[in-house]
Amino acid sequence: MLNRETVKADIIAGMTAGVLILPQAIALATLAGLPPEYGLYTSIFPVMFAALFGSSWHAMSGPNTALSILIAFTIAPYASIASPEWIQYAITLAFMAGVIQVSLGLLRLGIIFNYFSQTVTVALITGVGVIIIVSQLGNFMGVLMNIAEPIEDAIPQVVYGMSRANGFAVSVGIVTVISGLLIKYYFPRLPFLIIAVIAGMLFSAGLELAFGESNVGLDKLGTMSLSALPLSSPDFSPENFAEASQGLLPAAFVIAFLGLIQASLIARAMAIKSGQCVDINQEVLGQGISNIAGSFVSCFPSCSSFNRSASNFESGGRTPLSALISVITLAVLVVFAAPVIAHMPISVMAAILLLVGAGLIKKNDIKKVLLEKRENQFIFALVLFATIYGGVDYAVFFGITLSIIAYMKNVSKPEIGLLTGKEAQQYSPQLGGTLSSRNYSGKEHQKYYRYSAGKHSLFSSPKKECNELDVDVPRRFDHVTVLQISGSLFFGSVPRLESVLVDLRKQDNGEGDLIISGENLHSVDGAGAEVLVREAKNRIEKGFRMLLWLRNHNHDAVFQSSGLIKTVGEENIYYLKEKSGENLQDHAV
Amino acid sequence: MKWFFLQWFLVFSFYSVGILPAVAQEIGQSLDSLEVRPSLVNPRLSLPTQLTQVHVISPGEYFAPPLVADIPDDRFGDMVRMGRNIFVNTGVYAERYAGNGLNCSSCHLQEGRKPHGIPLWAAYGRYPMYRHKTRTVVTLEERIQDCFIYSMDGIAPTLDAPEMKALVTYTKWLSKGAPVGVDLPGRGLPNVSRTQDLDPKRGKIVYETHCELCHGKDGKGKKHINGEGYMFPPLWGRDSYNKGSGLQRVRTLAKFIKGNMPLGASFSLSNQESLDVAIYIWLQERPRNPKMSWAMDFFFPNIVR
Repeated sequence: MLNRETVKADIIAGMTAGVLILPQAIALATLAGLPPEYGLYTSIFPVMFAALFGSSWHAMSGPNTALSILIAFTIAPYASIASPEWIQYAITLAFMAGVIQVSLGLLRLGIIFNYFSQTVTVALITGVGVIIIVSQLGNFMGVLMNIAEPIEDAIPQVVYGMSRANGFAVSVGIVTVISGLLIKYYFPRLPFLIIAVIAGMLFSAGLELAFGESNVGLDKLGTMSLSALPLSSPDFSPENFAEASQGLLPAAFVIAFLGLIQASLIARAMAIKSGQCVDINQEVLGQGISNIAGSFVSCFPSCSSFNRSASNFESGGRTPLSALISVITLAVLVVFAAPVIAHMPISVMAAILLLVGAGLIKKNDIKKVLLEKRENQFIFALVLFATIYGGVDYAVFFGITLSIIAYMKNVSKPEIGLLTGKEAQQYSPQLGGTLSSRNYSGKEHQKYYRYSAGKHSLFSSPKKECNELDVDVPRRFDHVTVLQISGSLFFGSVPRLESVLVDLRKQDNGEGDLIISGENLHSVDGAGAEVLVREAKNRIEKGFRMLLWLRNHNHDAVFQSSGLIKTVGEENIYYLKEKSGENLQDHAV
Repeated sequence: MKWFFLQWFLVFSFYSVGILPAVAQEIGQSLDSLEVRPSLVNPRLSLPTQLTQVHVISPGEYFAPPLVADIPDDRFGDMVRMGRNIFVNTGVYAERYAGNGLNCSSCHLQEGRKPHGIPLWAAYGRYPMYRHKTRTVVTLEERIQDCFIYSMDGIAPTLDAPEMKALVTYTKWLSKGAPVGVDLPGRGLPNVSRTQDLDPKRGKIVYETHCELCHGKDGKGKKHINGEGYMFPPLWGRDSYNKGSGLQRVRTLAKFIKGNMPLGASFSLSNQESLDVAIYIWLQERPRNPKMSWAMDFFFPNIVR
C-alpha cells in the first residue's frame, strides 16, 4: 500500500489539500456562527481521525456546508452568535452526533445510508447552496443581518439593507466573486477560492491605502487566538444544556444522518474511481469517532467533503497519508498566515461563501437526476422546497421519508408479464417434461431451454418450434397462461398482482391452466402467497390447474405456511435448482 | 536549630492568618493571574491608602457603581465578568480586535469607575448621542467600535461580536441605578483652560518630573515582569493609541492628565502644566491615523477630522 511512489504522490496531494482547505475552513466556521479558529481545528483533528479510523482511503473529512448551516440554525434560538455558549453547544452537538454515528456503525446499520435516494441528496445540497447564498448577502454588503431567518424574511431584509450597504464592502465582494469565477472558468486547474481571496484582500488593501481604513469601514475577521491543543469537552450539565436540549437532541440525529449520507456517498464515489472495496460500516464508525474525538479538541460536527475528496484523488492522493499530510500543512500554514487572515474583510469571506454556495448548485447532477425518472422531478422539487422554506433539518427527515416511499413504490411494482398461447407452452411440463428432472444451476437457465428442450427454443425461432410441437400439446393446455413475476411479492405489491389477475380472469374467465413463473421472485411474504392461494383455488374449482415454476427452495416455508403448496399440489411445483445438499432427481418439494 | 524553624513557622503562620482575609478578598475579585494593575484597584477598598485616589469634593457627590463581588452568579453575571475581563485585559480577552498594548482600563481608569476618569456609568445613559467626530448619532456599540479603531489601533469588533456584547453588558451592569440622559457629576474629563501659549519644552520638564517614573523616559510604558501586557501604558510608539484617537487632541489629553495624572494624585497638576505636557506627548511618534490617506487628502482636502 505504501511505497516510495505513493508516498511521494500523497505528500504532494496532501500539501495541495492543506492549502485548499484554508479559505473554506474559515468561511464554514463563520457560516456555522463560530469564530474562525474553530473551523481550522475542525479541518485538522477530524480529518486526522477520520483518515485513521475510516474505511475509505481517499475521503477527506472536515467542515461541511450543509452541516454548518444546520449548526447555525439549530443553535441560533439558544445562544448569541459566536458567544461561548454557542461554541459549547456546537461542541456538544459534535459529541452527540458522534455517539449516534458510532452506535449506527456498531449496529452495522451503515448500510441504510446506501439506500438514501440520490435525488434527495442532490435536492438537499442544492437547497443548502441557495440558503448559503441568501444568508451571506448581508455580510456581502457589509450590513448586519439576523442569522437563521426563513428565506421569506431574509430576502426583504436584504432588499431593505441595500440602502445601508457599504459601497466599499460591496465592491470588494464583487471583485472577489468575479475573480473567482474568471479563474474557475478560464483556469480550472488553479485553486480558484484561494486566488479569489487573495484578489479580494489585495483590492481591499488598495482601497484602504487610498481612502483610509476607517473611511472604508470594512468589517474584518480579526486576529485568531490559536492553540496547538485546544482542549474542550461536551457539556451536558443541566444549567447549560437543559434549555437547549429540546432543539439540540433532534438536531444531533439530523447532523449524524446528514453527515453519514454524504460520507457514504463520497466513500462509494471514491471507491468507484479507485476500485477500493469500502466497508461502509467502518466508514460510519470512522466518522463517529472523528466527531467524538473532535468534540474534545474544540471541533464542531464534520463529515466527508465531496470537493476535497475529489480534488485529493485527482491530485494523486492514494492513501490516508495524504489526509495526514494535509493536516500538517494546514497547521503550519495557519501559523504563518494568521496575521494576514486577521485583515481578511468579512465581505471577502461572504463572497467566498457565495462561490461555495453557487458551487453546490450543480447543474449536471440536477439534470442527470431529473432526466432519470419522472418521479424524481417531483421528489426533487419537494425536497428543495422543504430545504429552503423549512430548513435543512426538516428536509433531511422529509427526504428520508421520501426516499423510503420512492423505494417502496419501486419495489411494490413487481414486473409481471403475461405469456399466452404458443409462447406460454414452453412452460408446460408436458412439453418439457424432462426439464425439472435435470440438475441445473441458475446460470444455465437459458441453456436449459435451448439444449434439453432442443427442438423448441424460445429464443431462436419460437414460432417454428411451436408449430412442430403443436401436435403433442394436450387439449387442456390450449388455454395455458403464464404469469411471469419478478421482484418482491409482498403486502405492498399485492394490489398490483391482484389487478393483473382480475384482468386475466376477464380474458379467460378463469378457465385455463395458470402457470406462475417465479424464477426471479426474490422475496415473498404471506400476503403475496395468499393471493396466489386464492387464485389457485379458483382455478382448481373450475377443474384447471395452477403450476409454479421456482428457482430454488428459498420460499418454501412461506408457501408451506400459507397453504399454497397444499392447494396447488406438490406435483405441480417445479424447481430449476435442487434443494441444496440433497440429490433430488424429481421436482418433489 | 529546631527552635529556629518553629520560630519561623510561627511567624509565617501568624503572617498568613493576618493576610488571609485580604487574600480571600483578592481571590473573590480576581480575574486571572494579574500582577499589580494600578488602574484596577477597587476604589472603595483603596481610597485612603493606595495608589489611586478619587477627587472627592463632598461625600456622596459621585455615583457609586456596584461592587465586583456583587456580580450575579448567572448568565448575565458571566457576561459581565467576560466584559470586565476584556475591559482590564483587552489584549488577552479581545485578542481578535486589539491592535496595541493598551487596555480599555488604560484610559477608563479603575475598571471604568473613576469619576473624571471617563467613567462608564456616566456614559451609559447618554448613548445614543450625536457625535461631532462622525457627525452622526452613534450608539454605544458604535462608540466602542471607534475605541477599537483609534485608541486601540485595532480592528473594529462587528456589532454582533460577543466581545461587543460583553463590553456593553459590563457597562450596563456598572451603571446600575444611574439615571438616563443626565450629565452625572464626574462624567468624562474635567475642564482645563489655558492662560498662556503651550510650550513643549516646559512640557518635557513636567514629563520628566511627574510622568517618567512610570511611563518611562522613552514613553514606552512599563511591562509586567512576565513581559505580557503593560503595567503602565505606553504614551507613544507602536503600542500606543494612534493619531486618530481622542487623546491625540491636546485639549482632551490635558483634561485627562489634569483629572487623573499622576496616578493617585489627580488634580495636582495645574491647567498649564497639563496642557504643556499634553503638547509634549502630542509631538511624539505614534501609529498613523486610519482616517488619513492620500486619496482623501486629494478628493476632500477640506474635510474636518
